[in-house]
Amino acid sequence: MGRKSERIVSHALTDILAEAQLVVTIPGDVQIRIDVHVCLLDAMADQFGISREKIGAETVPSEEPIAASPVGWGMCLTRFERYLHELRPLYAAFDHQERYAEETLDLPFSKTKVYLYERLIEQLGMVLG
Amino acid sequence: MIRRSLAVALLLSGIPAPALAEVLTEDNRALLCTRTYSGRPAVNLDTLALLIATKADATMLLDGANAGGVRDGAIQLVSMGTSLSEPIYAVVNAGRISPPHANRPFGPDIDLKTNETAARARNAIAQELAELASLMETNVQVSGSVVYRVMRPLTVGSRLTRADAANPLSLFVGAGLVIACEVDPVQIVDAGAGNREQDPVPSSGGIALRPVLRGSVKDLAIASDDLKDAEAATIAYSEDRIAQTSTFELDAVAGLRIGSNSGSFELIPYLSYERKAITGDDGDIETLSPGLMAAWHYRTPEFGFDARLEASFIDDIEQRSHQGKVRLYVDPAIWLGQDVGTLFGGNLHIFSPLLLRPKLTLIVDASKVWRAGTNDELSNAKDYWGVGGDLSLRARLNVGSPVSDFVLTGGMRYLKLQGDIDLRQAHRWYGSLEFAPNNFPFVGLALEFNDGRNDDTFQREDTYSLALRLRY
Repeated sequence: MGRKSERIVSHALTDILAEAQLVVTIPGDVQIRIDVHVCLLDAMADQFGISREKIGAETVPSEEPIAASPVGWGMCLTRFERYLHELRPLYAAFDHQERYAEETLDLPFSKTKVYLYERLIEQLGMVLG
Repeated sequence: MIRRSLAVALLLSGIPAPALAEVLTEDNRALLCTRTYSGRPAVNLDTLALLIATKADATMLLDGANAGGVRDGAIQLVSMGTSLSEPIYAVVNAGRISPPHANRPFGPDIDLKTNETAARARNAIAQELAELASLMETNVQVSGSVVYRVMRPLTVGSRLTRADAANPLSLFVGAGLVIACEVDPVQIVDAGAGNREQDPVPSSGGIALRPVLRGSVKDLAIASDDLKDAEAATIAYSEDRIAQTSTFELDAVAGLRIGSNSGSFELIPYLSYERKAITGDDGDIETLSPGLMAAWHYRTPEFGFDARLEASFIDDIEQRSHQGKVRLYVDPAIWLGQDVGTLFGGNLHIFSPLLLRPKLTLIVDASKVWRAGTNDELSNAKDYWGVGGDLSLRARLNVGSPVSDFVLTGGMRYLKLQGDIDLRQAHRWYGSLEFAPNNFPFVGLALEFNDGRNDDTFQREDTYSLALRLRY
């Protein structure tokens, strides 16, 4: 029973990837991490008028030099959601939740992108399931 | 679920495990590091492509069938100007989405739809390209005593872009990619440590309960993670030697945030207590106010706001007055463009290194006075309402600790009053210079002043004090 459902899921994944013409992303995991990284980096730079070069692994949104307010950080993550949607059709199912903003406001960039990657995978999993 | 399905998909498609780590190795250094960049040894991309193809079991498919793949009777392993080597040609086209017939990675005659060996090799190369793009993200790969460090990515600037992520295949085209070979791993490993991904943070599900302590009801909905943004609960003592008075102040709001699963809506029951005890003069204040706040968040990349609706009962213990209040607070933020940032959403980088952070809260207030007590300002008041806002500016010098741990804040709260009340407006100026260490923002020490009317009782206040600020 379990084996059968795994096969169905895997076919669904393959279909979606094929539909999105993601030859490069067949392995999925690595490319999705990269996509999250670049979309988040761009979203932060664009939202807060800060150079991409000034955003490092330890940059925390709520601290200097960004000092994002809860509203500002929430807006930034909706921009991140928009950039993901623009990057690949595969991510159309991703829907930003406000709690993501609250739970990442005080996290360094390196942890935030892992957090968002996990949420993205969760949401894609929900669609596939 | 998705992790499992990805694994199954990989298994079914026969794609081997990630192998780039097996290419950029200590053993391969002599083979790979035959190019120079700024006088330093760097990876030869022709060789890298060949090794990637080899790891992907595509060696037999590199038979010179591509245009320019054979020169003088030999398979081309070295790129010449715009003529790509056979391995680079294969690697680049293996990653392309539906390459034209003439650009099939292993020659025009090898159709990936019908040739399973070629399809497997193509997928394996694609996997390694994705890993290579991942290396661009972390910048460093260490193997034994050798460090492979990405010196220059494929586009302008030193960071990977969305365009690169969408097309990592162009890594091998042109002179965009430079991977330096280094043999002093110690400092490189340290430099790379900051970029290494850490364990993911667990996400909370269901209803979230969070106790909070603030100095103002309007800041109850601010996340505990953003403590510096919240008005702190305050214990303060001040002494006026000329007037021979001393003042003890305690101002605190304790609440319980009950959040919805999505986080877009919250309910916060709270208890607010304000105490001002003056020795040698009049003007004592003591209020106890239970209340309930509902918070709602709205976000787009260009505009957003936090709205909070609060209902409270204010028991002025000192003046024996009772009021009921319903207040609406709205914190807006507006995106002003990539060069400026978000007004009321974070720092404005206009006068670097001075960081300015404006904040605006719009306020609508409706009140009912059940008992005026001895409060002169409420003596003829019954039902009244007010509209106004609280505008403040926070300034900080971005020059590093300890100077950057000082924050200067100034602002004004203004409320235009209408209805059954003699007072037509209430305003209050405030400011502070606070020292709160960046790595321990729970406690701060501040010099502060307040000049104007109390937010709830409208009594006049004019205080200068040294305050201990607590946040949680």
